[in-house]
Amino acid sequence: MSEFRDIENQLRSLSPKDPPIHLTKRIEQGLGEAGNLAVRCFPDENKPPAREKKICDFLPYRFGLGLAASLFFVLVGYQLFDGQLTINQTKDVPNHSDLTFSVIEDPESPIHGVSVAELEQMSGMPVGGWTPTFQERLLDRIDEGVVSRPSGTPARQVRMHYLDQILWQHPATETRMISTKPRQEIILIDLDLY
Amino acid sequence: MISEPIWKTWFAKHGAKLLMFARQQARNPHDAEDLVQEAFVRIWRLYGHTGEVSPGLVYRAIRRLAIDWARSLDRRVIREQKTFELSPLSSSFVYGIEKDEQKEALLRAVDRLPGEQKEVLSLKVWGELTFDEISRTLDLSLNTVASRYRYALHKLKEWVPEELGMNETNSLT
Repeated sequence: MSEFRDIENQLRSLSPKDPPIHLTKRIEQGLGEAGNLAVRCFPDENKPPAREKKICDFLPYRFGLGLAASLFFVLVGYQLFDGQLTINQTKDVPNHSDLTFSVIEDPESPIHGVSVAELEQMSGMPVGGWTPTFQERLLDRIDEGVVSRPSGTPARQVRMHYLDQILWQHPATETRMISTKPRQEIILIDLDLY
Repeated sequence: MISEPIWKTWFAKHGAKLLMFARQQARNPHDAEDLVQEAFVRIWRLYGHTGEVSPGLVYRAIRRLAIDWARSLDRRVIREQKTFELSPLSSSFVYGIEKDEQKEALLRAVDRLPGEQKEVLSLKVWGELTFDEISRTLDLSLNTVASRYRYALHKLKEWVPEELGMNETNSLT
């Protein structure tokens, strides 16, 4: 249709008006969870590159620090249950002193009988002043097909694999610890038949 | 890492064309928006998890929903809303600040086209669908679609100079 090429080009130079913002918002609400199943990830340009380097430098020490942190939390938990540490209770918090916890001591544990202060001294790691940063990473998304709800309505089942990461930072000693935990979520998206 | 739902990028690319098509199918601008929302949400829920959705599917859903909705409306409502049907296709386009007589003449000529030719023209030119996709969207044969498109272009080629001439005459008087 070369005879119409000129008129076609003129038509293509016209741009339809963009949809109003409120329509995009309405679609976002209408989609709900289904809108977040397919996402595009791109690097955060505002993020300073120095931070990545610090984490990489820190990697050789991570195992040791992780072990020390684990020991620390086990000890704190143990002492809390054992009643050696006191917690300030406000009026709003109910008193659970009547509750009993059974704590089994493990004499073979490397931190058995070690106090918090001793642990701090032994590990060279501070006990307080840690701030956690949570991050959720989407690893995989698996479409498991159409299933029937108990009500009989069809729904698409999608399994999401996440990796939850907690970055513990101690600004005073410029120390960081990273702990990760895998997690799965199943989402059912209602389907309309028409 | 920053993540953004793919549907937003998809809708930013195709939303304007879908809405323009919906305006041709609906009885008023509000219905057109409802059509786009309903059709897009239905299709994205079915296929959006793949991240790839053919625009043709959404155009077809808009068309089918428009037919269903039109059937469900009673005659009184249709009569009351008749005025909206007169809103021209040219109102769906972006107007530049500068006056472009050629473009204005083209839009006036587009408005003069019969509805069925405008449908095919908008799906082909702005929707960027193939004749095959258009025939499936509008439930028409391939030959009908191709000939409607050809007729539309033929008329536009004839009418645009006419519209330009009329405009010049009007400005002289």
